[in-house]
This record gives sequence, structure tokens and C-alpha cells, in this order.
Amino acid sequence: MTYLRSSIYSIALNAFFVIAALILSPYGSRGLASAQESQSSMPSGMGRLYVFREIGSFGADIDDDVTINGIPVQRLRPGAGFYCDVRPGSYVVGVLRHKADSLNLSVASGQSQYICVMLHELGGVSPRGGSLTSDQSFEVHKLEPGYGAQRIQEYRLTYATCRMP
Amino acid sequence: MNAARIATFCVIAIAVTIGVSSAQDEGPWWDWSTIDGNWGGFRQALADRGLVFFGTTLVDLQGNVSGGERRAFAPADASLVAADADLQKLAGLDGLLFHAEFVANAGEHLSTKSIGNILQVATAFAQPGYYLGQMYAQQKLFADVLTLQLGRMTTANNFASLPVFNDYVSYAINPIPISLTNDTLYFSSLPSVEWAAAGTLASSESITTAAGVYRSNLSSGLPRVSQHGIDFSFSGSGGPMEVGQVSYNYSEGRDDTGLPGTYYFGGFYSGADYKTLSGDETRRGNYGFYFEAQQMIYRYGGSGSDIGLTPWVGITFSPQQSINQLRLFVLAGAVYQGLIPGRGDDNLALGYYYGKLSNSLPSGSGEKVIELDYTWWETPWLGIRPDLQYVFNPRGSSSSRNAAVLGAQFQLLF
Repeated sequence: MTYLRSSIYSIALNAFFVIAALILSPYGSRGLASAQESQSSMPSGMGRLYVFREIGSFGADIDDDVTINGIPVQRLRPGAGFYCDVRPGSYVVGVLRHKADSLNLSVASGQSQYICVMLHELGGVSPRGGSLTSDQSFEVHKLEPGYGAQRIQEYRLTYATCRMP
Repeated sequence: MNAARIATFCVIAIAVTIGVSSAQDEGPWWDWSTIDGNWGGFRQALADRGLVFFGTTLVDLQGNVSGGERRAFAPADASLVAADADLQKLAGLDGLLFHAEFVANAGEHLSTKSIGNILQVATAFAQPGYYLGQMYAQQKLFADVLTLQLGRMTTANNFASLPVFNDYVSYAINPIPISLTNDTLYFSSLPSVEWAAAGTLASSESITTAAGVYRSNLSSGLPRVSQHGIDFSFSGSGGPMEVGQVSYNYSEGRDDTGLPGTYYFGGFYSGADYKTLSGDETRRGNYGFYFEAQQMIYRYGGSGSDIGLTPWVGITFSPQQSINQLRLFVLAGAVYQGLIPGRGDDNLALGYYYGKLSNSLPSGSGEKVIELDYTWWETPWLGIRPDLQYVFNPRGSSSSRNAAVLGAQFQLLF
């Protein structure tokens, strides 16, 4: 019984130590302002695509390469994103390995389009309900410009090169 | 300093060390999607070949700050490690996957220790021990329209778990309404698993039908530490349990501009033996129904946005009063995602649960709980959820003192 009680309090103390270590970690200096790398200005005559993935309780292990016109651009994990400059025209955004309904959109010169990639939400996903299997499908949503411009401030975006065929 | 604490520091040291070498590839540790990152690229390479690993630890630190039987503090921990073998990638078997989980639970049960209530306050608490959890094969057919699963499974994986339920700390609703587990036992959540077969038919984008058959083996339903979830016998405590559910997803297609909603209607019949609440008699068979719904009613940011208000309701009904402790369970609440500007992944969750006790019990009244949580995603791999619960009439007794529970839940993703 004494051992059990000791183990229990050890769990609680360890949890606090883990959290404290994370917060004090040199890698732990995250803030809304620092989450966003400084972005280069959009070249004249080009448009820009912003792509990000939201954070959630499950599915962090399930990632995939985002494709534009079928060409992989960047692996996308929860809490991350990328932006790339493209010529005005029509594009298809999808993922490489998982099932997803691809998104068709057009970009005009000087226009920014905002895209959210997420796992298709299902019930039964919780630590007591079991974890997701890795064969989930993805959703690719185009966001309204004002809303999209706000949301990308929350994630760490990196510049990517979108090579078109 | 004991071994557990030394091990904790070692894990942190290793993680930091890995962080130094991998930071250039994955960015700062704080921005990784999991606490252990990509293992220097090894994890991603394995996933691309069909082996996917995942883990989560849930820690509930709660105190009964007033009322109940006495004031007390209780920590509880539930950890899950899962692995998938995608046999399509590994062996060219189209749509076939093998899934396995290992579960470890530790800690104390605040509801038993100091409140004496039925609607358990901590979802992280389960009987301390380590267990083999779910272990099943999954086959998807006809372009994912039909999914078949066979193996060791928990019922909550496929049935009665609304997505919003995971936003709460209370085991009264996370992962499923507690009445289902209390009354039937075999309507299970981890670490309880049973031999089972389940099928899900997505007949349209909106309607999904699921059915499952679960063995009712008592030692699997109540996994004792000595068995660690590896009692694989097919012997049952009576007949199996059958579950069916129809799901309706409103406006959840990509091109839908309406507000999304999810509706479940389900029922079960268990052929197992149940002891009566008032004596030592045994009855064979139990059945019940449930309805659950969540519907977004306000959305900020237009189509494609997740930010907004989603109310939800639920009800479970198990008519046989002689064997069902919570004959009627009513639950309702609302979740607002993105309440704080600039924090679109966080949410505020309010819930109300009312469990009507069977007339076969001496108290015969009901227990009520109000819960308020805020989920703060500090990083993609660390969720912090302050939690307040107020328990009215613990065990349905008017002589019991109402209890206030204050605490926090931490979720780490590996």
C-alpha cells in the first residue's frame, strides 16, 4: 500500500517536472509572434498559397505530403504550414498517400488563397476509446481570406517552392 | 530520488538531445507535432513503409476542494501506445491493416476516495496496471465504403462517442456516456477489451451504419491486473452483446456551406448474466438505447472554419430497473472553439449530466454534475485543460454533501 501511494505521488510529481522542464526548455520559447517566420513579399505578377494544418488530440502521427497539381510540396504535420508563390491560374491541392477530396481553386495575380488541411473528424477518438488507425482520410478546405489570414498567424509557416509541371 | 523520477529526467534529457540534432530539420522542439518528433527521420521512413507508431499520456490532477466525504487530492494517469502495420504497403494486401495498443493506468480514483459519486470525475482513471489493449485487423473494401474489423476491441472505439466528448475531463461522458458502461459492463472503454467483430457501412457522405458483436467475458470486461488484458478465452458470461448505430452527418462535405452536425442513434442487446441491484439473483439479458447529437449553430469565418459554437445533447435509456444502476442518463452541453482570438485550436466546454438511479436502489434519486473545461494547446503535443466540476447529490443521496472538484488535465502526444 505504501509502495502504491508512493508510486501515485511520483506520477504527479513527474508530471509537474515534465511540464516545468518543457516550459523552461531553450526550445520552449513559443509565442504567437514567434510562431510566424518573417515572410518574404509576394513577387510581382504572382499569387500565393498558404497551407496549414490544425492541432488536435489525435492524428499527430498521421501526416502526409501536400500536393499541388499532383506534385508533392511539403510534409504537413499538426501546427505547421507553408506558403509558396505560384503563377496566376487554376490549381488542385491534395495529399500524396491518404484518401482525400482534392480542392480545385484559382489564384489571380497578387491574390492569396488560404487552405486548411485536416484529418476527417470521427467519433470514438479519445485516450479511453482507442486511437485512430493510420488509414484516415484528409479534408482540404479553402478558407475565406480574412479568416485564413488570421489563422495562419497561429502556426509556424515555412517557405516552400511549388514546382509546376 | 527514486527510479521513476530518474527515468523521467532521462526521457527529458534524451528528448532534448534529440532535439539538438533534429532541430534544423523539424524546427524548434516546441513546434514539433509530437514530443519525440520524427526520430531523426526514422519515424517518417517507417511510416512510409507501413509502420506507424503513436502514443499519448493523459494525466488528471484533481482535488475535491469542498464537500463530498472529505477533502482529498488524486492523480491519475492513462497512457496508450499504438502501432499500425499497413499491410497494403508492407505486403501489397489492398486495404488491410493491423492495429495494436498497449495501455498503462496508474493513480487514484477521486470519486471513490473522497466524493462517493457515480459520475466519475476523471477519465484518466482506470484500474491501475498495464494491459494489452485493442488488437485487431481492419479491412476496407469498395473504395472505403465498407470497413470490417475483427479482433480484440473496445466498444467505445466504434459506438456512442461523439467528437465533442473528448473535450471533457469527466468520465461521465468521455469517451462514452458512463451509463452504458455502468449498466452493461460490456459496452466498454479501455483498458477493457473483448473479442469482437464490427462493420461500418458508409452508404453515403451523410449516413453511416455500424454494427458489432462483442463477446461478454467478465475478466476481459473487468481486466484484473494479474491478467493484463491477455485473457484470450472465448468463454463468456452468457451470450454476446450486439450493438447497432446509425450516424447522420449533416453538412460535413467539403462543398457544403451549412453548419456541420453529427447525430447518432443506437441500441444494444447483451445476452450476458447480470446480478440484480437489490439481491443476489441473476438475470440473463440486458438492452438499451442511446441518442446523441452535436450541431454547430454559430460559425465565425465562413465556410471551412472550425471556430464557433456547437451545442450537444445525449440520452441513454436502459429500461430494466432491477439490473441497471443508471436507468436514464441525460447529458447536454456546448463547446466553443476558438473563443480567445488567435487561439483557434483551443476550446471552452460546458457540460451538464444527470443520472437517474434505478428505483431498485435505496436512494432512488439522481446524481447531477456540471463541468467547465478550457483546452489550451500550448504546443501541438501538449494540451492543458483546467477543469471544474460540481457534483450534486453524490450517489443520489440527499444526505450526501455536494462536492466541488478543481483540477487540470494534461495530454502529451508521442
